[in-house]
Amino acid sequence: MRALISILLLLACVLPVASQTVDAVVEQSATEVDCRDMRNTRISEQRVYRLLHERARDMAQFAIGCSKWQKLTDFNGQVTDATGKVIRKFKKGDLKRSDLSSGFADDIYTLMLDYTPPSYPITIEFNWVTEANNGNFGFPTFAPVEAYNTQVDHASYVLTVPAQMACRYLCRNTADQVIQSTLSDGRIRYEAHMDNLPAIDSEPYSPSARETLPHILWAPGKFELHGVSGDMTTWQGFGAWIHSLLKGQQELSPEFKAQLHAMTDTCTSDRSKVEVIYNYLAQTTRYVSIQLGIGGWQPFPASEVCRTGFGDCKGLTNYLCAMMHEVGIPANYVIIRNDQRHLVTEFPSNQFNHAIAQVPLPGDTLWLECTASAFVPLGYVHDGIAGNDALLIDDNGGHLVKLPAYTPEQNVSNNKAHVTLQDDGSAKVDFNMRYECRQYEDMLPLMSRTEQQRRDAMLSGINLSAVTLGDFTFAEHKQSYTTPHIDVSMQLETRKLANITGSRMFVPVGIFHKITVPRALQQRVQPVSIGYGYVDIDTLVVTIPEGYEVETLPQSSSEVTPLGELSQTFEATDNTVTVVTRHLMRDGRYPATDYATLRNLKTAVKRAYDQRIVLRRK
Amino acid sequence: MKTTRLTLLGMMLCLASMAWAQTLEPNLKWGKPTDAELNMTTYDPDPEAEAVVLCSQTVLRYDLSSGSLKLILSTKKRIKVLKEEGKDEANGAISYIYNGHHLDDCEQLVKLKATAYNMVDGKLVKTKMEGNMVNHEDVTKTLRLTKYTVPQVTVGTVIEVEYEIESDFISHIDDWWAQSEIPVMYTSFDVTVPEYFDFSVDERGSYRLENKIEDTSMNLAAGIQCRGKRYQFFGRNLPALRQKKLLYAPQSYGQHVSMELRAIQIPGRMTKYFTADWNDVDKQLLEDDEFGGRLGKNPLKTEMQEAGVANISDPKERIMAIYSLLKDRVKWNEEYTLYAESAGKVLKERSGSNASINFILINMLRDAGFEAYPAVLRSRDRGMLTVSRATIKEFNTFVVAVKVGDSLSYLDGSVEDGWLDILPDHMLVDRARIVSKEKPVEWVDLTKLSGGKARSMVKGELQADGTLQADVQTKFSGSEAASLRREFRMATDSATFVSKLAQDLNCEIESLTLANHHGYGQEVERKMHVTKQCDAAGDMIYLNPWVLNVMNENPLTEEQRTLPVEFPYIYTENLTTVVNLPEGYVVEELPQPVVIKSDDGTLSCVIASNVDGSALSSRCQIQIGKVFFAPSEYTFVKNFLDEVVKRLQDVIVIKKVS
Repeated sequence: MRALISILLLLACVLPVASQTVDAVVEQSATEVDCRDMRNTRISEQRVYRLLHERARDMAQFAIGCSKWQKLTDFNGQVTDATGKVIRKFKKGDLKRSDLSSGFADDIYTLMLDYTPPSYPITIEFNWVTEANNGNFGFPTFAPVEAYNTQVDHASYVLTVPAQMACRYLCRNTADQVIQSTLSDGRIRYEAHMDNLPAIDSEPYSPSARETLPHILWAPGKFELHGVSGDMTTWQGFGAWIHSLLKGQQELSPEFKAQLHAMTDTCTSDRSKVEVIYNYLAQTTRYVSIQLGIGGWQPFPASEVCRTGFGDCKGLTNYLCAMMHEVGIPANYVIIRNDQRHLVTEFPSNQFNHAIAQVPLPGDTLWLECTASAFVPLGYVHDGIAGNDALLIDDNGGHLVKLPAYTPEQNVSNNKAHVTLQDDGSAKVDFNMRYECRQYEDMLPLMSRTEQQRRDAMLSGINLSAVTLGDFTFAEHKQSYTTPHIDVSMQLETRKLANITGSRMFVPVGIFHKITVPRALQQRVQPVSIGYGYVDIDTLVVTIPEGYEVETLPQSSSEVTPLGELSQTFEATDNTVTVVTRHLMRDGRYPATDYATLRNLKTAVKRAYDQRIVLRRK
Repeated sequence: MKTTRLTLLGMMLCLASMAWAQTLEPNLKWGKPTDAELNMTTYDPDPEAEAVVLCSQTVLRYDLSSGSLKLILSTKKRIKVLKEEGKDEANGAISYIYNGHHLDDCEQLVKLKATAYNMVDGKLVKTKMEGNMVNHEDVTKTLRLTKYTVPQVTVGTVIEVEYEIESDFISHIDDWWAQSEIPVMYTSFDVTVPEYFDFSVDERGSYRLENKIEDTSMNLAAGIQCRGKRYQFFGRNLPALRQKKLLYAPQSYGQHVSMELRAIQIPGRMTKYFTADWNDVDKQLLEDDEFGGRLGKNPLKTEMQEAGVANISDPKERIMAIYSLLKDRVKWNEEYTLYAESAGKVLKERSGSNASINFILINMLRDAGFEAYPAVLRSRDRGMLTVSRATIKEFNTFVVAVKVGDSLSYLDGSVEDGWLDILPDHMLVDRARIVSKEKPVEWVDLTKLSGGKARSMVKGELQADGTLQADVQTKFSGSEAASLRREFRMATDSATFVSKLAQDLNCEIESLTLANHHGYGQEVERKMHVTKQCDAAGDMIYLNPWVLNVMNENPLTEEQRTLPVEFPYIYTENLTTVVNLPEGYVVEELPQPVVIKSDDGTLSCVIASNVDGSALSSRCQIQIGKVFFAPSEYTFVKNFLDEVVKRLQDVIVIKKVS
């Protein structure tokens, strides 16, 4: 796949790029990372942006996250108008500071500058230096394309490190090379350039930018973070370092241990023990975001989480593992990224933002989300982690694993509606919907809402108006170790189901969903990415009012593509019409040319849902 | 008018709330939750509440014991967690003015305590919040946020939080909010003000709080006694505030008490008066350096002369020429303010808030011989202005009113795509106040401004296979024109603009041209040639004549509503379609015409079709003539929109006859 992306990007350079909108030009992007030893790093940065349109206004803002260990030591900037006149200069004192964080606590504060360019085009230059003294856990990625519709003229990156650090790099989506040399002081110097990178458009159904844009990843081999050293040349080594941070964090008090045994000793199977512990976690803890401790990598001690009843993902996961161990269940700490399916598996480095637990029961490996245990049923792998690469930590270090994912057929919504139509166009409609797996998850937030909000949400989801809702049930069915689902039933009346013209009635078929077709593109550049596979099966049964007959029944249709499928069938009896529509989407990565296929499929789906049955008075 | 309606509704709701009020007396003892509180599992008036405020007490007092007069705010709150989602109540944040190490003009959080109470195996277990569960974040140089997280909070927990803020801002009292996102069983606000201060006290919202106002004596410090006035407000069984769509400031509908300083009377000194009536507000604004002080010389006199602005004879065009001359030099920085920076600074930095731009504009307009004034307002996202409460605090920004002929027109520095009288929707308020020594009127209604209008003409040729080829011409004006301009300006390129429109209309667009779509202007004209597929089967064609999507769905989907509906601006849509039928085809059946009108005429919809030979013509007119609809009007508005949406889907039956 990587080769394919590179080829596509090359094509993009050759094909008529002139039609590509450029909102900003990175005239110069220079990064110099000077790693003097295992603890101290100085990074000098320069950016020169020419902003051509106010769509690129965000690039006139400067913001940097700092901490006690990573400080901004120098900053200046200037703005030059189209005539070459310097109209504004910035200095460090112009930056505003804020500690505001989204969670409860972290170590980071932000320094920022909010500038409004008076006109376009305009050139903005920022120069800044940061110094860090908390170790060399990672180095900034060389990724000079910072936004869509932004072209890069010149970009350079220099990294100097002590030889014993055994630094590594990986070039992705680029043919550019890294030049390596040894300095007189014995340190190793890496240098890379990327010039004349074309702008790319934001396109619907695109993979994340990091998967297609040219970039170079850097990582140390031997490293240190807040005085704790490790070696991340291999995943095994990365995991061993995490493991060292967990050591001693899993102690539990004797009283609590006794309590755990009292809770589980009567359990007849490991599965029921796991259930007891998982439910106990749900009932007694809550998630609080705390990004503190060895750069946010060391979990709070299990005893502390036990005492306070709260923790972040690491703290809760570590606590769960500790409890499992105590009652004789194997459990592993797993680090993962909750917003990306894939890790760059060939490049061991810090790519994680979340922690979960794995419980390897014989023949049934469980993946447990500890931050939402009250909501996620035991055994269900939620979408933030399902199918993702992850690193499992045990006594032997780290091991790459892949979490199981649900198939499109499992992510099903089964919708049935029985419409009893009256001769004035009004109707009684009985809906019965079932949502499973990922589609269940989509509906899950409604469980936390009020009944009225659920009614309103369900009514706005279907494609009917002038509705009076009668009986309504919204029920979650979850049980440990089974696939969860939500059942919704609605009995409603609508004053207007069919449109009436003289002796005819037009009955819409697509009352279940609202469909949009992705827009047409002149030229599709990026691969097509479908993040979520699912199937909708809709059955509509219309009982025709007395005195009416079918004049026109729409054509049945069927469309089968690698990306998905559609089938729709119509069947009429004397007084009923049954319409079955099945629409499946398959998650995955497809070549750019399949964008047309996707549009055709979605157009067919829209057309199918836009069909009307025509009835006529006998 | 609107206030009366709201108050009436408030009284109705109030009666309703009394009907379900539990007569459970609040537990006013802190540190001792009752068995009823500990064992409670649901809150009957709102069984779905994730948590409930059992008791909340806020006491505000003046204190001189440290030698300087301080205002001390003490808050105590007891919350019951009823559901998983309610655990979030264990996390809180308190914001206050904090000047770092400068101890003047400061607020200090002097006390913050929290305790969780849980029943474990029939025994009450108390868990106190510890120091490391409190975290301070300096959001800006002067604003501090203290976040806290209470331990051992789970479903069933009773949480008590208590904090105290000492403030040097003795003349400023923050609004006190009785309602919150979770229901409140009991809440009280108790303020004692020394005789030296005179505050106006207002209660707002749709409920009525019990209150008690009495004269009292008070101790400011040991041995220092004075007379004072004590205000107490009590609320019981107040429902949760749950956000609603199509409202600019849902939170502002919550019950609250506002206090505004009217005067300070220190014995032996002259009484110092603060705002009392609206004329005083005008005066205060005009005397302020950053408001009235910004009125004066035209800083762009030479530029205006060089541009020959005076030669433009049409006054509206002349105003717009002045505006665009200014906007070429100063870019709006995306902030709305009431006060302005100096013209010198704004012109040097070439960017500024709407107020900063507006003052320069007023000075330019006055220099060009126009009468121009600031029209101050409370933008819709801040909630409604209370006319009975004359204070500067009511306003957060202003627009420029300029006299053209006998009437006033309006303009604002934030406008990028509009024209005279086309303002951003959140500035379309029913009361803005002209601030000037001599003024034509005091209050002006801006809600009828900026109306969006679209007038379309569709000329189509229908083919026997059901294909409709059509030329579509639309004139957009008012806010509709401004939003189209903005959309075009911010679209990546014209191809994207067209493809998004085609996606929206669900048809193929073969060509598209726009006229007058750059810069400032009144109307935008759009011409397109489109192809659309209609249903055809056998000898029949089923035609929906509306190529344009005027209204696809009803934004009002809630079954019922206790808060009003606010539309962005008034709106008129006119649509005419003329379709030539294919050779040998005739119209077999037409849908019934539609005529709907609300009693006050503010909502209307007329749809009708007729046939003339082989030409079929259909007309549609929709009008939304006001922006604010009271909750009592909700059902009508919802049904109206439902009907319009549905009837726009009507079908004309066309049949082959030869």
